[in-house]
Amino acid sequence: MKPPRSLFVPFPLGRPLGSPDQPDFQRDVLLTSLQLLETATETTLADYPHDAPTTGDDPWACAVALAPPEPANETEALRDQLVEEIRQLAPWHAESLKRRGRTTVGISGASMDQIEQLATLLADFATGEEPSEGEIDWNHPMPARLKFASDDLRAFYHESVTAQPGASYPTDADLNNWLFNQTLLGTVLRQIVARMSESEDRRVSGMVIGMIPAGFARAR
Amino acid sequence: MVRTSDMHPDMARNLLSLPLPEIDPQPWIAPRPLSEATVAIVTTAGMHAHDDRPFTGGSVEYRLIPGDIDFADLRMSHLSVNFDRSGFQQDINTVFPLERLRELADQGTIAGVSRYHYSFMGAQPEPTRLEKTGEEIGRLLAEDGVTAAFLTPV
Repeated sequence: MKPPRSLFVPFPLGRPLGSPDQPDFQRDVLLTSLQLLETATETTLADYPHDAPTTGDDPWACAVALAPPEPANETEALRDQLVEEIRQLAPWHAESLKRRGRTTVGISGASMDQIEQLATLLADFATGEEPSEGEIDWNHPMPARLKFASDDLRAFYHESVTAQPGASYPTDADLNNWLFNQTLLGTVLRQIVARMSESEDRRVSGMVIGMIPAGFARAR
Repeated sequence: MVRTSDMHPDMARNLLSLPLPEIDPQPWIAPRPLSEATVAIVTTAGMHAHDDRPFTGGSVEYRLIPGDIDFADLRMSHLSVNFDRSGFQQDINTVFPLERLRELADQGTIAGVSRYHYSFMGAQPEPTRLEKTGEEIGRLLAEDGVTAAFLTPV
């Protein structure tokens, strides 16, 4: 890249401006970077002096207890369990849509009213069934479809849970801890990764690295 | 970027094992004052309009993001799972600070915001493969009167 002026920011990967919904802080990061246009006289790497803002001293916790059941071994039953979990979050996703006016769900090709069909794909694969096409106009063939279906569901879960009232905002680690250790979706994604790892098809086994962030591959 | 001490150890080890390129001093261009700058965002966050093509593995092409895009039309199809998407999901400015740029332009801190912004897929195994499209975007930005590019790597 060789940028002539760079600002090192000590924020999590994926959050180059610091924290969501913190416009004053974001503007300061942006301006500190742009001011290098006036102050730098040679190739420069400057340090941004502040950590990203956090709110509240209490650790974040999801207010809705999902109490994930032991995942069923049969496809239909597992799908019903996942759909039930999705339905528990759905009112909060509706709240997210109302408040933010948008969703980032849809990369798989699924529309918002097809979100429960993503559970069918994941349950099919997790229990060893041949995944059915369903009615979704998929953006990707298998096995990439599994990755983007799981990304869409994770986006749905994140958007739902961050629309709940709370004294503190979740960090990215809070959200991963919650999703991978306290929801059925997290358990099912681990089952899917285990099945992918065993596949002799290298396109399938190679997809493993795109499914679960480093550090969350094992249940706590 | 993030401090390696704040990363998961597996990821930090992986990053620290990568060869560090030598970067020679670059040709220096004295820019105009900030108050005369027109700024575009170029990101490797794998973002694009909802009806545009999602990125695929090894993509070196880019997606055009019009400056008047409705945030409701933006999606992210980045392949890597090892970075946070929840900031983007809650507030797109966390990675694509278009609203913050518009505010700086409204205040007169910068002269203006580009009509077009550009998005690549990040986590490139061979970043040099982006050279051709990078130069293409440089030409497009220059033709459009943009004087500074704000890069947000992911």
